[in-house]
Amino acid sequence: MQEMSVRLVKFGGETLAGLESRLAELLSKATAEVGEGRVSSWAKALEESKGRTEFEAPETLVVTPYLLDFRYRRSTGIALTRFLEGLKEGKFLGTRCSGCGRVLIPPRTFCEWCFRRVDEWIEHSGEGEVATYSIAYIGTNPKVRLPKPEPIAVIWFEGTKVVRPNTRTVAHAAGILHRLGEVEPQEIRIGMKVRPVWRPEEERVGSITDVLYFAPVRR
Amino acid sequence: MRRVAIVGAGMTDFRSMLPHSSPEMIREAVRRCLDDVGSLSIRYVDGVLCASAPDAFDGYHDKVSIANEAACAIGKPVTRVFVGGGSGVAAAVSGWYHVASGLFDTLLVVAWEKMSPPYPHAQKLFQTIFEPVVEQPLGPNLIWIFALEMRRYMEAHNLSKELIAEVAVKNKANALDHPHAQLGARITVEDVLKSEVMVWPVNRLDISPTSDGAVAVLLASENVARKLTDTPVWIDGVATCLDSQYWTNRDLAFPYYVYLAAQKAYRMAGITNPLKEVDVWEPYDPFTYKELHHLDGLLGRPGLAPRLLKEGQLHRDGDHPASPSGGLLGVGNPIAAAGLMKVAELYWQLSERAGKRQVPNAYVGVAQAWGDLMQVGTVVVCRR
Amino acid sequence: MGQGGVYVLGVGEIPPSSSLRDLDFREMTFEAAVQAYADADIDPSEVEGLFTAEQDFVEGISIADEYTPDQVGMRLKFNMLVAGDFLEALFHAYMAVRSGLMEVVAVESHARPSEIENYADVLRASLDPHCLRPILSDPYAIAGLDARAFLSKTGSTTHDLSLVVEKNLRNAARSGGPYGEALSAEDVERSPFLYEPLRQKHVARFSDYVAVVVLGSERAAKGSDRAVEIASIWQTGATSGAHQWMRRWGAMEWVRGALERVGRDLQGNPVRSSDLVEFTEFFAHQELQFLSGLLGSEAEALRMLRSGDLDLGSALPFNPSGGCLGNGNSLNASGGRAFVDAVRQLRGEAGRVQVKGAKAAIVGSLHTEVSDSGTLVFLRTGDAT
Repeated sequence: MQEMSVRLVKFGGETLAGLESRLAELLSKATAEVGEGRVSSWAKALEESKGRTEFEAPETLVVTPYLLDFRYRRSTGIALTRFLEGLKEGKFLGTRCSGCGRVLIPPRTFCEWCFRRVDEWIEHSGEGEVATYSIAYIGTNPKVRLPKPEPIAVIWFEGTKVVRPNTRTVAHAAGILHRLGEVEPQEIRIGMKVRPVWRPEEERVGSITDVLYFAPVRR
Repeated sequence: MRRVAIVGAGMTDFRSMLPHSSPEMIREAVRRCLDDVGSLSIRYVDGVLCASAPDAFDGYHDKVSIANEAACAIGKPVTRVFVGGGSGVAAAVSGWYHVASGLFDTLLVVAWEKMSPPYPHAQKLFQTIFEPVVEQPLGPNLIWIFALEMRRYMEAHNLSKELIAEVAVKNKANALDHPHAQLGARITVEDVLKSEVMVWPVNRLDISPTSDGAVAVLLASENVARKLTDTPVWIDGVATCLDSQYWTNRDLAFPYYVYLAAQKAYRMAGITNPLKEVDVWEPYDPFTYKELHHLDGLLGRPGLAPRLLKEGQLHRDGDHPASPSGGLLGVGNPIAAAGLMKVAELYWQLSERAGKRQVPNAYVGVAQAWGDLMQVGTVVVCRR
Repeated sequence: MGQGGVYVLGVGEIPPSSSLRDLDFREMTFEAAVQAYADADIDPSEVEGLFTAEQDFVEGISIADEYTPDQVGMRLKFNMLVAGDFLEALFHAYMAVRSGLMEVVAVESHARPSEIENYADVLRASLDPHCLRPILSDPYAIAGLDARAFLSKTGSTTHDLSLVVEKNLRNAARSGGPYGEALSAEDVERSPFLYEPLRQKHVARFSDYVAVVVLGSERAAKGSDRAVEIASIWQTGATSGAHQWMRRWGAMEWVRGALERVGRDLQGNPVRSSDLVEFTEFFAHQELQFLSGLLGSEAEALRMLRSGDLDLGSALPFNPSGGCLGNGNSLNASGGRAFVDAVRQLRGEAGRVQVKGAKAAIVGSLHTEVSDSGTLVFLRTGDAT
């Protein structure tokens, strides 16, 4: 009868330039987590695998904690830089393709339908409709419930739809992913008219979050 | 075009956590595949084609290097294809042109996934699939995009969660007959509806959870195939189709990219009426509604799949069995391996090796996978 | 249909530069694609499939292939991403055309290492997490180990490595590569050690780059007098994977197998028929390792280097473009740069580094800087034998 064990091997002795103390803190927190919850999960998985004799089962598991920390500083390029500048000013900027006539938000400098350069810029009010929506009860850890359910949606901007008469689906609409606010989950409908609710000017930084959420247009 | 056949397949169990390392899982799948073929030493396999989804899960950059030794690819061609969730079937597509090109007489196609390493959960890593500038700052999680699509799909065809939940019931029941399944179970529609809401309208039992597992399939050219087996399963149609990255500008109700890929694959395989000519369907089912959504695309008829489900036609004993393997919902979802598992299922079904899962008189089968931002369709059509 | 020749119909690129700040990755790829389609004189609607070479952690996106099709005009078409380097994606594209599945395809790869703050950590993550990552703070140390083994095996010295650097930087100064300069081997020898025996100047610096190449079947290439034939191509996996424990240090094992296969395809010795070689030498010693593999002799490779037989205008110009030392290490896209440079040579469009009368070329690339795995291509023009 062979003994089974799960051992934790500390990840040791190397320099992580620039963020040493922060990473050490994160790593020890993660190691503690691994020590509590994860190791017991692995031990359980090991136990279960014992019963299946076809597949060689390991006797000992060595768990190496490792933190992937990759950092990037990416250019937002021509189109998205201008889009973000527009958001800072409280505007939705988009491009328009002179070939197919589509309004493109998020903007790009090329049209992927026509494969041609696009350099006409337009401004949109940001008003539109809910193309589809959902209510989030979890964040990125499915085991942790959010304190309050969060509605999210794809918002299609007014007047930008390309509809083909003989098809049931919409061929194109300028639109973005964002949150919904000032609305109860059960009120939300596909097709509901919404408008952007902006952060106060002094809080805007040039980010999609300069818009707090989209709220129903209540007339 | 040179004909290509599947001559053997093998897989590990799919489990939420396998205590084996990725190379060990790969080796096991490869060993079982070659044992299945029986008469071919690994030395005579000309090359290896790998598939595995995000590198982040294994915690590796450039994770093809994991497979080199495990798949005995030392000194042989070994590359990796990666089209998100579509990778498992994309591997079969790529494997096809490796052999059809004349450069390879035999090719090992290996797909693996190890989703158990990331903690607290693989979910967080999925955040980076979203656009870094205009989407990630909102803090999205992967389920958001499925929930948004599911809601749009439900609206387009007036579908109830009750009907959609039947896919989980069917597939988990089918999986009870699958020897390597992680999630085989007898559940009811009510169980699905009562499971906790993750991102409405998606409940926990609507989703296949994370898994570890590996699958290997051996492809061979016609001459070689006939020497290795008397039940080669021919890959007669292959295609992939990738839609635009601007998913918020697209109508998610119909997977146009699955439809286009299927049409190309059917034309190549000489299929003109898929509903009539295809005996076994293995559509990609990471979520319940996805099986229907993808079947709509494969059949080219928006809303047809839910109607067929309602009529009981998608059950194993129906006219159009879908996911007789048990699919991702029943067998498990180690992403790339799950897609290749569906291809392996076609091999087992069409060579009459599917045991209790066997669909009678199965001559033609279609396997499909999906991936990215509601974006890629990968399809293979197999024939006995 | 199928199993005929595969030809390069057109190429497009944004030349390597230390940093491309104004355009984002989509915009720069769009420019390269426009150029490639114009060069091939085709409409993008004629292109049936796209093969891309990207890596998630180089892109900073997971899943890299989501963001590939639009800017190359390949939305709603066949797309396959190969998680490797440009020549590996080219290998896939080549097979897809030879199989008869498609007649005209595009191959694309880009990399912007200037935007990765801690690339060494990214590359280190390609190594085994239990035994290798904890002891190697910089994965390039593996290249140092390999270089040491090479020097000791062959009895060569760092001066030989410095000769490679001198040649490639000189070539790049003529070709316009970002790191071209007149630097003597002695100057190189004075640069500090980074991964002994490798000195700072023996290691290629980074550059941002994008290439789009259009390939076509024999039928698609008919009538084009600029088409360059991919006569043969073969990729070989490593003697070592993430663990590196089976690695044969000091030599590029993969080259022998690839060369054998290519030789069989061509029914002759590809090296003897080549007028030049372009190879992704991320480190100076890798150029000599690759050449040794091609010649089957390390002594011969060193002799050629030392007697100037690898220089422009000599017996076998090696990296007339300046290679990665002169043009920069563009990670997975480096092989694309080498390929485009070789194609231009065979079309007589290589300007100040033109190899006179070049009709055939060998192009090679490594899978990553520290892996013993790579791809070898033999290119020739119509009138080559």
